[in-house]
Amino acid sequence: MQTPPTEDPHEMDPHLAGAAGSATAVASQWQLVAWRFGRHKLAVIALYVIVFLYLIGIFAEFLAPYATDTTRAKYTYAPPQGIGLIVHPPDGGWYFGLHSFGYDITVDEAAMRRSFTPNPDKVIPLGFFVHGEPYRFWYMFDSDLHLFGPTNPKDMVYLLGSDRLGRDILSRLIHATRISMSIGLVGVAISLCLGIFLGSISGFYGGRVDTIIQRVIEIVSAMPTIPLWMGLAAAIPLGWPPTRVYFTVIAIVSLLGWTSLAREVRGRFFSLRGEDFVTAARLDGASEMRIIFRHMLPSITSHILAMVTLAVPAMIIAETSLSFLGIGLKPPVVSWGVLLQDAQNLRAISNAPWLLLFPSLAVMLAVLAFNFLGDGLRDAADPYDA
Amino acid sequence: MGRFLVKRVLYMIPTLIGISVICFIIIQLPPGDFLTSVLSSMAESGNRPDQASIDRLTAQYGLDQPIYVQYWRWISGIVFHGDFGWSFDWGQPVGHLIWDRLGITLLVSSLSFVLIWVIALPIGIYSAVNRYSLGDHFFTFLGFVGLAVPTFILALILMYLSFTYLGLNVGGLFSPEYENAAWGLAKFWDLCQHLWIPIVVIAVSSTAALIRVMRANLSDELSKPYVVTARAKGLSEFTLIMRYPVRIALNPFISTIGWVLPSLISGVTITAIVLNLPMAGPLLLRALVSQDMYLAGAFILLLSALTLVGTLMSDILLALLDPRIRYQ
Amino acid sequence: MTLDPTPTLSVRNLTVQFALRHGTLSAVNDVSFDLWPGRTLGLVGESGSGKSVTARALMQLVDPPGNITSGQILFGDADIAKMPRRGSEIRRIRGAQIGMIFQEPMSSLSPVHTVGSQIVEVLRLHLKLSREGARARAIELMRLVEIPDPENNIDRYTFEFSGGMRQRVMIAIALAGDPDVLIADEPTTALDVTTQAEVLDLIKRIQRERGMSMLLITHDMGVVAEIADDVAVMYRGKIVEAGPVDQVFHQTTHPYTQKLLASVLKLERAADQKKQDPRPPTARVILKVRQLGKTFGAGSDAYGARTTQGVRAVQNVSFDLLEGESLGIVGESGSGKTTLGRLILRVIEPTDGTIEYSPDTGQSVDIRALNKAGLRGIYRQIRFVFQDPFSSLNPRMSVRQIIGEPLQINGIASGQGLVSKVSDLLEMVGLEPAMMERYPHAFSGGQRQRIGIARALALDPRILIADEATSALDVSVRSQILDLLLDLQKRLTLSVIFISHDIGVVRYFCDRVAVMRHGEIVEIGDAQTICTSPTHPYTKALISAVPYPDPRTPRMNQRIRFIEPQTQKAPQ
Repeated sequence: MQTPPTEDPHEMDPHLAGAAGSATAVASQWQLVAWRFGRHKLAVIALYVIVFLYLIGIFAEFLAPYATDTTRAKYTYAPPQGIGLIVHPPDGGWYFGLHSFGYDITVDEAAMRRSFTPNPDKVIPLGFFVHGEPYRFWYMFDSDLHLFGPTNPKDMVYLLGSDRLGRDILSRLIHATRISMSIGLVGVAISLCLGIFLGSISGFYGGRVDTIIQRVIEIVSAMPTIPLWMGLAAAIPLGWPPTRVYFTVIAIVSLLGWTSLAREVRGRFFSLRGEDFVTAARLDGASEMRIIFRHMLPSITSHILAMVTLAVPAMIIAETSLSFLGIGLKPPVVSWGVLLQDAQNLRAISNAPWLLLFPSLAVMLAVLAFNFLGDGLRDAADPYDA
Repeated sequence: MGRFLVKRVLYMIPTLIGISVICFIIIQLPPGDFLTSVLSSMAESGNRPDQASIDRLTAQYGLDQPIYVQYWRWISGIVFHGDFGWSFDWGQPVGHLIWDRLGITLLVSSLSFVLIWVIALPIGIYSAVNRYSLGDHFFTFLGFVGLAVPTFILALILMYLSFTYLGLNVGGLFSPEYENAAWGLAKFWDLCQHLWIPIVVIAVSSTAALIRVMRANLSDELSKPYVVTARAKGLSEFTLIMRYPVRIALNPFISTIGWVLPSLISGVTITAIVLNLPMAGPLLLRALVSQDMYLAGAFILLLSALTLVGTLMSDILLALLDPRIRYQ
Repeated sequence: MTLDPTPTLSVRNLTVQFALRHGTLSAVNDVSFDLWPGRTLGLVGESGSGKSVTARALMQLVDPPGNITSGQILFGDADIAKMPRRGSEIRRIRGAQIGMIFQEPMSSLSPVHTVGSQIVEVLRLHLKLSREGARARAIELMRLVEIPDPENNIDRYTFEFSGGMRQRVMIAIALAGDPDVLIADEPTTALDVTTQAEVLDLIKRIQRERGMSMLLITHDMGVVAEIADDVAVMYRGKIVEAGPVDQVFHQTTHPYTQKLLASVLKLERAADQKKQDPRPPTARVILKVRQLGKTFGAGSDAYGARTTQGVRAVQNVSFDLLEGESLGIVGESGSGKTTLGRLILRVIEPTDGTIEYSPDTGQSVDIRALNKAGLRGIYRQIRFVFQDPFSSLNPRMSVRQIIGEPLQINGIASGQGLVSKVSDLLEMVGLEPAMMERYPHAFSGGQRQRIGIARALALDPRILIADEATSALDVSVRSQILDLLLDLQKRLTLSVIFISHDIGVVRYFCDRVAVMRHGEIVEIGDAQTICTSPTHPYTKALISAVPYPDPRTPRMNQRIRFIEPQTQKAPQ
């Protein structure tokens, strides 16, 4: 059937028609993608949120007031403390000063729990760039400078509450951000390599290679992920060092994540293989490598970027779920999932809802941001489809 | 149609074999064979097994044989005798432990599935037809949030909320007083009170995903020429949208069953663990932690097989609905 | 036929605007015309002229962001322009009093409903027929539109029908409500020439018999000349010329119409250059194709199972291409002509035959026997021009990169040398060298095709294979591209294989023509001879089916139908 001349009012879009004269005429793919992406306000905000989360991960030691394992048995399940700006000292008058109030602790013997009441007389002065617990930043620099904390290093302050051992949730959350967000990134990187490798082989060669790879993908994606992950993760020996567990968990998580990427890459390759411009490149005498890398890959990189962004949340959720079940990352490593492990039963949650609340919010924020970003990228990925 | 059915069922067999191989690998993953763990647990309880019974067990499971023979014994036991192996943790055949729990898992998953469709379909249609309207933005946002909350966190949150505000302890399937009571209206009502939370929890993320699928598919279909044809016939807007684009957008919607089911089973597993429901999840976790591998392997195998059967049913439904597939 | 004093439908000062991000666009601007009982108005224009939007506006089918902003559409006592788009008023008119036939018979029908149910629906809705009555009437309608065996075909799905049959179903739907006005929007554009002739015959006959008013939207002046009683020419949203068909064709007043007719009529004969400068008959054979064939899908499938014998897309094709000549390959869809073009360069691997290439210097080679490296050598000598100027240029590469790609790969030029070579090539195809930093999206269809030609010429080829190189273009652009190719061919002594479904284009451009059908060449010979006095019955039917753009010499009346030999199957 012949291609009929089209008559689509959008063809007469003055924006497109005038393109020949404007900056769009000489705009490369990435400029067009960036322009289109910029129109998605939500996606742009999401991008900032993600950058912010990764910055937290990078500077965790500096940002967190305490280390992950600083325990104070006295402050078991201390609720979040407020921050005040104006101090009323007992001798009257007032002055400006960032502060929290210390707790009066009473032990309820019958209920086996402590109750905390803020005492306005126990002012804990807070400040920025304070000296506190010493730490080693990135295994390289020793320091005790913290962005934020009590000016007296002996004071404890629990802005987001504390856990069973009296550890500061805020500090643990900041450290957990590093682990959980990096798992998303590393996991996706591994999935991506596997996915692109197998997907492009499958899409480029077709035939029997393709059939086999497709069947493997089909089998893996037909299996419900959580039981499968559980089965694999449970085999991690208890005695392994934390870093080894960390990378094994990433491997398990990405082992199942590559299928959708591979499927996408394959689909794109298939449709591209039939495109005239790819045939044209072949007829220009281009080698197969050149066709793949110069002509086909650039056409799908923006799509891959969007896919990858959308795959990160699944990784984060997977790690969180496994760690929550106690078969992923294990203490002393802290991740969002490990934090949520403390919120496993009704008793813990009703005693200390902040154990559930703050890590959950972190997970949701990250997942939401990646989803919005991925959505924006996907819409912007093909700037030529008007 | 018959040909299609046969082809489709035959096509499933290699997938099933692949899945069984993966399950067998999982069974084999923990260091040492299971006999080691049996012996250590027997030693713990104080009765040293004699060499004869060790030899008997070794022979029975083919532990002295190459790995593919072991696989064959395991899988042929399942296929020909319904024998899933022995649970050392429970001291029972695996077959005795799994069926009840799988039954409830299936029930809850099916109810969730129905709920997902009942919610996602109309909202997806509404969103596509009224694209960029206030309602569409609202549902889109809700969908994003629904996708962002991991199932187990949602379960925890609902558990917490219903405990603090409704005073309900929703763990388990029954309140203690009905646990061993005879079936009756009261017990059924009690079950419903417990059942809704897992069903809702499991349904949320898939519902959010399916709303987006339906919205995207239908939006594409709405701009197709056949819609204009239908409009040019003088049909009312509602009739024509339901009869043509919705009808056609339903096909890709049905084929989402292929990935909705695995995620549903995943959700059911983890939710059951959080809420401590007598389903596959908690038992699977316990089996994995105590390395009771035949039990764990059986669960993973059967849960995967369940999703395959579901996918098969969706394919059949699709063929019934879409003549293009039927006439291939 | 006597003229009824009142028109069935009158359009007065109709304006349709589209609200776009960068302002509003008047797709239809102050358009007025009348539809008379028993007469056909042909609304012609090139793409983007607003003719389709006009047709849709008549039934309030313009979708947002489009809107009828002013003017009237008077139908009976009512003004359709005032009716709400989704209201019940307009719905009583749609399908009942005005019927519409759309361009794409595949996508305009639902793939999951039987054709019967799609016809019955209208009958039940407007004529309130019972289920059985509607079915009987639908069968009657299918018989009316000449669908064979309607009793059985009524329960079949559209994908089981050929394009022509689908369009008949579409017509049956449009007629089901027994309308007074029939709007046909490019009803035959997607069809092959012989099918087009039959469908046009059918529409014309039914319109006459029922005394309907018809609005025929088309880009094809030939179709207008054959069918229409009156003509309105649209250009950029306005009607620039209107009147009885003879007057518009023979006493043309508006310069746009004159230009349009000139470019159409130009393609009705051989190019002037051809007449002045006939090809030397003693030329050397540069490409010798013998018994070339391609069978698709034979052998085993991915699972190793034996499948059927496969589909013979091309079989037993032999021809010679002489140096400096242009050989046309004509055929309808499915004739194998496009596959043939790709077989020569082994883009699709042939299953039979030989392709012998004899360059003016050096040895003859059999292209089929070459390895990859050898084939790359051939790719420098034989170049390809694609049909679709949109998909054949990589949107992610600038024009310099696109045209420079073959130069770079073959190590002919790089750096500054490449830039100057690309400039030369752009100038050669009539584009500004300053445009080379631009990306394809900044160019129109015609310009893109020039870029494609420049890319093909970059390697100084001896043979050019042009696959439907002009069929995606509007008539006026089409003749420009053809003239460019003619000029280049002469300057560079190129041999051209020109594949096309369009007899006019082939007659204009080619020295010799091969006519293909079902994968075989049925006739080959001098272009003028084949186009004026063909010998094979299929060629006769094909040539006679082409509508001629002059209302005084309608060709369809003397049309020859090609009766299929015995081997032919049912209409699918």
